[in-house]
Amino acid sequence: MAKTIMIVDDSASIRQVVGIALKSAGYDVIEACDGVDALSKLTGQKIHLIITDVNMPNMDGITFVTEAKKLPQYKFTPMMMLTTEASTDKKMAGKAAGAKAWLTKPFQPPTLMAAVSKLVLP
Amino acid sequence: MKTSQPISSSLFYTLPALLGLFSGLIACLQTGFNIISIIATIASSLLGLLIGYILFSKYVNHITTINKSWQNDENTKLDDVNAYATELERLFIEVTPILIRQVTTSREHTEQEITTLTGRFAAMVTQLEQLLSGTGNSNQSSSIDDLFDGSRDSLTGVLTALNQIQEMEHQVIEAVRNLSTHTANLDTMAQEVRKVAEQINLLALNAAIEAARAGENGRGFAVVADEVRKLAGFSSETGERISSTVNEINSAMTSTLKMSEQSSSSDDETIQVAEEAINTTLESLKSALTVFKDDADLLRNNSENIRDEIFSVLTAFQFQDRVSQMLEHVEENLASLQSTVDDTRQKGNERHADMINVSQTLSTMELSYTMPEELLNHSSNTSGGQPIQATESEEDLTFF
Repeated sequence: MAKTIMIVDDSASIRQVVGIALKSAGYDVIEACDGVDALSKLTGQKIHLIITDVNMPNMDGITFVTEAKKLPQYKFTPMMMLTTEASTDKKMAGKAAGAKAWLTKPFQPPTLMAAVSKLVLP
Repeated sequence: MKTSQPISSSLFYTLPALLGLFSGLIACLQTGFNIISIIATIASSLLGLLIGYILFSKYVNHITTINKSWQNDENTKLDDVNAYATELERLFIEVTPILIRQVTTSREHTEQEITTLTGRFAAMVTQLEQLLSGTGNSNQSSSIDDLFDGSRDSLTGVLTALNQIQEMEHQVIEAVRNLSTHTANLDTMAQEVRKVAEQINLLALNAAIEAARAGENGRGFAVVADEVRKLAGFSSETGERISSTVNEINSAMTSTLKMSEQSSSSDDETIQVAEEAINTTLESLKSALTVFKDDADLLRNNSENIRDEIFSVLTAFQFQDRVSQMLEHVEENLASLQSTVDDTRQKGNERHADMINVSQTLSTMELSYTMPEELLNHSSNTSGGQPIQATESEEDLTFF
């Protein structure tokens, strides 16, 4: 059974790049375009990792992580941030919300995949 | 101007009055302080005051006129500045929405087009992935090898079968040759049988002669000797018959042997030619398949390279995300500038410098930034620098 990873980003091109990188490595991918959309797609299925942008309309990434962690089935799902932001305050906010990693854009696929394989649930 | 008036007014009044008084006093002194001179003194003082008053009024009028024209000049200037400020505001209010719309349209258009473009590239990568995983390298080359091995085995099998047939032919010929040895033995034995029969015949003759000499007593013996002579003759005939049969067999065998040898040697040739033909064919097939495999490998490598190239291009399109964010911030900042100016207009016709807070606006803009280039561009404004080149920013991975 392939593992499932969710990617949340308002930019379609980012979702495509990440999607292809994940699918070539054998993962199933769920896409969402912002925090609200992502929460609506968390319907109880097992998700092994969530990758999310920070700056998105309707609900930003850090709020989304906080909200998702409140859902019982996703309390222990590892979450990583993928964003243009690099300021220490934002990183601390991410850490406080429960994110396990922070990767800045633009990224190289090998770096992303290394982080994914380290964090994804067994 | 009003403050200088008290000094001037007293001057205007006192000087002529003093002059009048002084001239009156001189007249008084001259005339010894009589009534007329005293009255004249008072009159000239009053006259002096009157003159002073007239001069002063004239002076005040003059000053007032100057003040008025100066005030008019100042009012005109103020009206000009106000009119300018109003027009500047209006310019700003008119132009800013246009700028915002232009930026928004170009940003959205770019986003759309790049989304389509990246979609197409993504589809290409997926297609190539499917192609590469379907025609798995090991699958293809092993099936080609299997094909070749199978063909070679079949053809080799045919040759083997032909060779076996040939072997059997040779064995038959050998067997036939061996037979002739046996038949030679038979012939020899037949000769010996005839010799023995001849000897027996002679012995029997001798026995008959001896029997005749013995007279009546030898008659029985003579009969036996006769029978033996008959038997010997019979054996001799049998021996001859064996010999002639053996000769027949030999000649049959000889002709069979001849035919077999002929056909065997022509079969040998045929098989040789067939073997050569088969080997040549297998060679050609092998080299054709090798070329085919090499081409397939090259194609596969090229496909892999193309897929990797396209994926790199796709990854490079991440820049669009940064550009979009920067443009969105520009739109937001322009919009907030516009509303700041609009608010000031709403508050009425009064304009003060403290209605606009430049440092607060700059701080708000700074807060909206999410990327280092934006901050660098912001601060280079104060140092009058060039816009920051979008650098190949180092990616940064942090684990918590």
